[in-house]
Amino acid sequence: MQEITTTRTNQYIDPVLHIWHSEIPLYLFLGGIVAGIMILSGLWHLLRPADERSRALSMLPWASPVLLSAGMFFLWLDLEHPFNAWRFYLSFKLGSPMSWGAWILLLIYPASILLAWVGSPADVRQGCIKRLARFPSFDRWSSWSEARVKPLAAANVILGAALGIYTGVLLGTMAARPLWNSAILGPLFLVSGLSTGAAFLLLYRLADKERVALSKIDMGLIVVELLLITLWFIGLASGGAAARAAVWQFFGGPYTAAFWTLVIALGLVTPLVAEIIEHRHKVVPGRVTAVLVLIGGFALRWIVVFAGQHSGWVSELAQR
Amino acid sequence: MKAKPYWNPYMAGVLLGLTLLATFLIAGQGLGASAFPKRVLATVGSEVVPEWTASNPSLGMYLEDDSNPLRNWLVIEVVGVMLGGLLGALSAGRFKPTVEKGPRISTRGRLMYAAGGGVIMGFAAALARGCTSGQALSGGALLATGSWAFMMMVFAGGYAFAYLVRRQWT
Amino acid sequence: MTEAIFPLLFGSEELRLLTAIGLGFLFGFTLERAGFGNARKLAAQFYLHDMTVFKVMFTAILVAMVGLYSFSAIGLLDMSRMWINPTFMWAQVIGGFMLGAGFIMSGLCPGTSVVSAASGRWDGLMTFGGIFVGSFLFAVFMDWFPALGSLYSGGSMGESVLPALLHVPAPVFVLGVVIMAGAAFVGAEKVERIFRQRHEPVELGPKQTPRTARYKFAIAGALVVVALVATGATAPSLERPAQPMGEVAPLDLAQEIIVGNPNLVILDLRSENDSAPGIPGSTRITSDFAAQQLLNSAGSAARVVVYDETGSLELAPATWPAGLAYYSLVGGLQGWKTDVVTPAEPSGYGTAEREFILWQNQIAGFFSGAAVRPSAVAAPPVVAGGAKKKKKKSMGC
Repeated sequence: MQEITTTRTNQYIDPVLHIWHSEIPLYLFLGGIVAGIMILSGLWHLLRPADERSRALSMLPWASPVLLSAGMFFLWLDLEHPFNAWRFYLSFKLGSPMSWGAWILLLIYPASILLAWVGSPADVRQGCIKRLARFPSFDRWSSWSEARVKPLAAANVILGAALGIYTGVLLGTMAARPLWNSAILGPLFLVSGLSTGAAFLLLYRLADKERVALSKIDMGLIVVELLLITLWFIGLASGGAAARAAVWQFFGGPYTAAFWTLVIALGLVTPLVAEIIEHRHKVVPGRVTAVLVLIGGFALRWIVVFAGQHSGWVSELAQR
Repeated sequence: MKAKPYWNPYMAGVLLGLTLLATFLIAGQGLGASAFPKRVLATVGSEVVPEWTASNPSLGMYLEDDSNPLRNWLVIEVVGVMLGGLLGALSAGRFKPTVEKGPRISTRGRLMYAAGGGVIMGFAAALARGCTSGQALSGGALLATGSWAFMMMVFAGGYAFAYLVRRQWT
Repeated sequence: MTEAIFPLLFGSEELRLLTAIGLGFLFGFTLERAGFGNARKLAAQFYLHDMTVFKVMFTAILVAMVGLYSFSAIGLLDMSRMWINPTFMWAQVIGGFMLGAGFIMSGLCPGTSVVSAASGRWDGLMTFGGIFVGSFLFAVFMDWFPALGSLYSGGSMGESVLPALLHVPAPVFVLGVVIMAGAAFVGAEKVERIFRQRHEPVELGPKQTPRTARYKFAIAGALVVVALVATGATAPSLERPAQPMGEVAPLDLAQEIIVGNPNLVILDLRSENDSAPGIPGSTRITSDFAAQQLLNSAGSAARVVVYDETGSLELAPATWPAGLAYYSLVGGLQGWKTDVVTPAEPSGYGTAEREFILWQNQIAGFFSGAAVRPSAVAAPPVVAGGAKKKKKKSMGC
């Protein structure tokens, strides 16, 4: 990934942008899941502090730093100059979403790790403290963070939201790509990230009550996601010729079948209907719908990244 | 929730027939299932061993026109079958992670049989250019000569080997 | 007669692809509700105490078949735009038997294994995975054993359909199938009753609908089917027109003439006022009626090759027998003259080129009068200019 500060008339950018590869959607997907887990676990601490949590749910926040590292690894693989990545941290550019992202990522690690520590089952924490007795400061850190659960949870919610929106804004600020140049993309990716985060949690052995709660949250998120996609399309369709040409890719163009089958049918509508049926029949939500949501979430990012690179100003003009 | 009863076979048949007819009228082809594995294999093969795949008589034809082998009506249709099967089972209260078998066979044995049967069917469907959906059902409705021969032979094969594998079911 | 609106035409392939998800959904949903996601219910078909597979499948075939032939008869459907499974008799007979064996082993067929897996059954998932392995093995075996390749394309009959093969008018054939299926349904109900009494059937979930209701459905279905056939039978029949199967290179045709293929029928379709002699053994066709007579008497095994002056022939006359498959000669009579009758000039020095020219000159000698023993030309040293077969994608299934 190059940050494009050169003039745009070069073969990487026009008529078709093709410098972003499959690592980018993978990173956006993992980033979305991390954002979802952080927000959900933060909200859980803030809103239901007294509730008994299943062991799986209290251990799962550890997934955030792990998945984020995996995502960063893919992002780093895609960098044009991987070994210059540290230069991001030498400056802070207010106008560059990549700079924002780099700093958000740096803050997310301590916040998510500390919250995961606080939320872990007591016996796990005791065991760790005993084993790390050699480092007296570890114990101090532990009690420091335990005394600050609420601020940590709030920080997780805020940083998670920032990460989720950032994955969309990263694309949205590229004015040269009509498909991405929409304010909806940020919220859309945030909501989709929350939904995939909930689905990721549902893959594990949670208590029945937690499953039902997460699946209910997911239902609401899917509805919001469908609405946001509609808004996104309406916004593009009522835009200029280039925006209309961009949205045509999903209405008869090369990404039509992939988008409607993988994202809408498989990733959103089927899980929604399945969850409604499960709730109506009072069945504990299973893992299949979660898998579908995850596939759909990845497909959304994959298709948006690739279709967006195909949409452009020059290419549409050249086709006339 | 208690599982709903299965549909009456004749009613199910009429609905299935109407679905098939609609498919012919709308898409200009029949339904199918075994093109999905072959096209997935062609896609994977074109990434891993591109030359072998392109020259293979069974898989190469999916790569001829340079478009993605997965961008195909039958591939998307199988995704639809999956979703339809899932929602059908869920709404009938039949969705259940389990293994269907008779009482006299172990779960492991049943899974081995299932996989073995799958291997044979994958081979057979590739040889016959279709399976029970694409040949017997769709080709049968078109009165294609080979499809009817295929259908008769499927029943013949099933009855011929039924006695040997009866332990699985009863 | 109205313009055929089916199969629908789409503005782009992507839009046609979109219909797949909905139709596939209906397919999967119906299969599940019929009980086809349950391997035990499917396997019971082969132990005769639950004939659901037979009943559902044949009802579906009947409905779709009657619908197709009726729509085609009233001119709403253009069958020539439809993808019809080509017949490869040996591949399908042997493949069908193997698939039947696999079917009873896994209790599922490829389509129903998808449904079974989607409804949570692990055996369905294993079967579906096995199908990938089997398809892969087939691809590998095709490379290893050339004999498998000849089995794969063995018994090719093109887009053969039963009414045309048996020379029975389509509406009559469809009606016959309906009547036979009706009888088979009655038989299936009987067999089911006998075998259910003989040994306790495996518990297959909920009880089925009572028998009276079942017959009501059967009778209603039969009435609909008969009504549709009646409309189809009274409307003028619109059969598949004769279809070009591909092209034949002049040298290949020459070789077939020399070897003496008994099934070869060569039709000369040049205009009447062209007096130059045609290809030896060909029949000059002056009227459609004469062509019909000849083709009907040649039978279904005939290999029909047609030619005109330049090879511009695109479509056979509409009055030719329906379902006929024919080949056209590349370049027509002119191509024949340049490739076959005129001896070739040596143009290369490689062994292969020289042998090829030798072969070509032998053929030229045969047709320009010089005596050549047929055996000498029977086997071409180099297969060149072979008939370009029109490759059609197999739909798979």
